[in-house]
Amino acid sequence: MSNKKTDEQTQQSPELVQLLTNGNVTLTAETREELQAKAEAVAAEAGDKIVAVGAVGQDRETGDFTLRLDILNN
Amino acid sequence: MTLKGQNFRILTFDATANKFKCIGMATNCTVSLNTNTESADTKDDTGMASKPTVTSKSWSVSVESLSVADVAAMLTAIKSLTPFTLLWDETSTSDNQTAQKATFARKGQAYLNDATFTFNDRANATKSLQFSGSGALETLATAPSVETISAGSYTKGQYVRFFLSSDNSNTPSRVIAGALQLSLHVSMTLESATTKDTPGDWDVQEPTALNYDISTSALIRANDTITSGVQAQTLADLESIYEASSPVKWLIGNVSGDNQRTLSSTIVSGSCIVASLTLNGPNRQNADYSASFTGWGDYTVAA
Repeated sequence: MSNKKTDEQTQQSPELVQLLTNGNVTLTAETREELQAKAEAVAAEAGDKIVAVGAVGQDRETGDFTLRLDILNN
Repeated sequence: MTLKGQNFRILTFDATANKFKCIGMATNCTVSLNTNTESADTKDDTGMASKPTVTSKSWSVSVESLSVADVAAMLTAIKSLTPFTLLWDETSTSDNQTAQKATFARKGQAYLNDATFTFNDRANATKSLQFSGSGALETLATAPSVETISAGSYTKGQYVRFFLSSDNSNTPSRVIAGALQLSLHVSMTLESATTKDTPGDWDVQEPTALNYDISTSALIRANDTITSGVQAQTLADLESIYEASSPVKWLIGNVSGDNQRTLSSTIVSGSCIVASLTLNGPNRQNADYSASFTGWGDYTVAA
């Protein structure tokens, strides 16, 4: 018999799992466009939970762009 | 050996992690411990100098940081009207983060009562936080458990912009043309809630009101030659908004695309009233203007 909750959790992306566990997650991508796409995907995956975004930053060593997402308490 | 400033840090408690964390990418911090006194001079006192008595104690902490990744979280924290558990301590020289339980370390509850986020063109975005203590400071019984924060990223101010609508119903879609500076300032009013029931000399405060304002500046463009992509609000548009004397919608968000005018994601939004417009025309220099806006109602974090 499958464990429905385990099945649901295994289908969640690592980013969403971290967001739900820690209350926030920082996404990384090589371009701003990729970063935006990632953020939209995580927000869509979060469903009816309100996801807030911070300011996009750039790692000064790698040049990668980063964006922090926060789950807001309803 | 003198303690270096990078090893004197402010840490806040993260309830989810159940650990303290340094305020990331901090550039400066200040702790202020104040004593409030009252004159207690009577005719029984000899000599000329007064002898005041201590009536209460209050404290505050300010931190400046180059990280604005958590601007949404900070704005949410202010609106929650709940205090932070905060401490200052010496941190280890190996990672500049591990708290050492120095003899001068102290911990207490403090409201984040003033925050300014600045996004200026071609400059690192910054945040400035002020915490106002409420209640007693405690010494540390043990070295606090600290979760190490990873190296942060820097935000260039031109990639975070202020969008303004011309009314209070439509979602803003136009940035300020030729913008130079932008800052969002949020301030919580705290009032003393100290009574005879409050132990010790410590002042206790409670939040009573929240206000915010936005400031921006821009070059006055003779003719906006940027024709591709998103159009922008010009000085003429701002003057019209000012003359209408009504609130208008605004948002601050991450941008991309041609001329950094395309909204990628909304960080915070709300409504505002034009508080002032100042136009400058210095001889043989660029004409520019500065505008300030007073928040009208609550701001909303996220879209």
